[in-house]
Amino acid sequence: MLLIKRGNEKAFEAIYDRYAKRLHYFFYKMLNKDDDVADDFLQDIFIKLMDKAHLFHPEGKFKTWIYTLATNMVKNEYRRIGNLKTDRLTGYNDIQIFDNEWITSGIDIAIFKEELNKVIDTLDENDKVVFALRYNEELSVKEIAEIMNLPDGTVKSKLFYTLKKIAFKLNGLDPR
Amino acid sequence: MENNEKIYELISSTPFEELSESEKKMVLSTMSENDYREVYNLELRFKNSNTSSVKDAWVVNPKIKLELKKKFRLYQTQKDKAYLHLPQFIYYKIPVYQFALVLLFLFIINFYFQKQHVNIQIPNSPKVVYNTIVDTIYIEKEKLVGLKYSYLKKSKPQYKVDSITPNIFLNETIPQITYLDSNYKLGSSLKEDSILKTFITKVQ
Repeated sequence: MLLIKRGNEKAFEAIYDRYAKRLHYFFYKMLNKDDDVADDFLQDIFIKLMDKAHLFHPEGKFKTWIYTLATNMVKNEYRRIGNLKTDRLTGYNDIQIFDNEWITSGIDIAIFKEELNKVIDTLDENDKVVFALRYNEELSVKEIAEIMNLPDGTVKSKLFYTLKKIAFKLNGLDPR
Repeated sequence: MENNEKIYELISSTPFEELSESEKKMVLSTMSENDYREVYNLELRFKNSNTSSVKDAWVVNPKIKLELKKKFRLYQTQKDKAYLHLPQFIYYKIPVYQFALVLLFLFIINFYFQKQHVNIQIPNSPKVVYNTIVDTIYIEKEKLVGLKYSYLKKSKPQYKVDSITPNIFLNETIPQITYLDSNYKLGSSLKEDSILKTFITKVQ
């Protein structure tokens, strides 16, 4: 990041190569699986990185810093959509995070997946983001706490609450 | 709330069978054994879902990278131009607390010197200060209600009315008194002073 601050293009390229896929995937999953929207958000986050490079503290972790930017962008988008409330954009609330490898085929799996997304849809925006960062982005509780500016304990409580909710709602549907 | 944190730590690490007695007691105060197993299994599956291989295979539009590189170059040239026009010390950054300390120090110094100067300040010359005072002033005016007389000369006594109420006698000189005899007497009372006696008789 220090090199980027000094205008080193190679450093910028290296950061892009390391994080572009992860961030694009994150935006894609969090914003209704829309490729164009994910493209726009990816561009925006790297433009923000250029503009706000001076705000990054070298003693901090770059990964949590960039995810903080990404999470704030997603939350702002949720708020914007929430304020607009147009039919065209209602799909944004349908956050579909979990189509991972362990859910591969079969009608039970399809029902489970659908139900899972319904439960996640009922979560508030912070719980959704915390859950996605933990199980989709595979970040540690400490990293999530830093990104969301919450105490570790609160993140753990949120995760426990969400897991419990999902487990109770999907009781009997889990295709093990 | 604290229980939830601890239970999450247990759920994300330990199956129910491996919990200690005290941990089991704590878990069972919040949820049943079956619920714990359900949540534990779900957490394990989410955790093992391993999205990294999906992310590695993820394809991002290569145009984005090219576009961003172009913007980065443009951004740097703009930044360099702006940077060159200003003196270097402007870019020197200090933490906010240092700035606050300097301000506090200046304030204390200023306060101290102001206090010192209060006792030694002596005005060089008296100052004229104009104060507008609004007050009620009672003015007493003399009002004459009787006669005033004076002797002008002993040899030629003449009476003059200075002021009299009503005004018709004002400044009116009383005609020369014809003395009854030249050997008039002066005295302090009406009995003794024959001239006064004559005057009053005339006026009446």
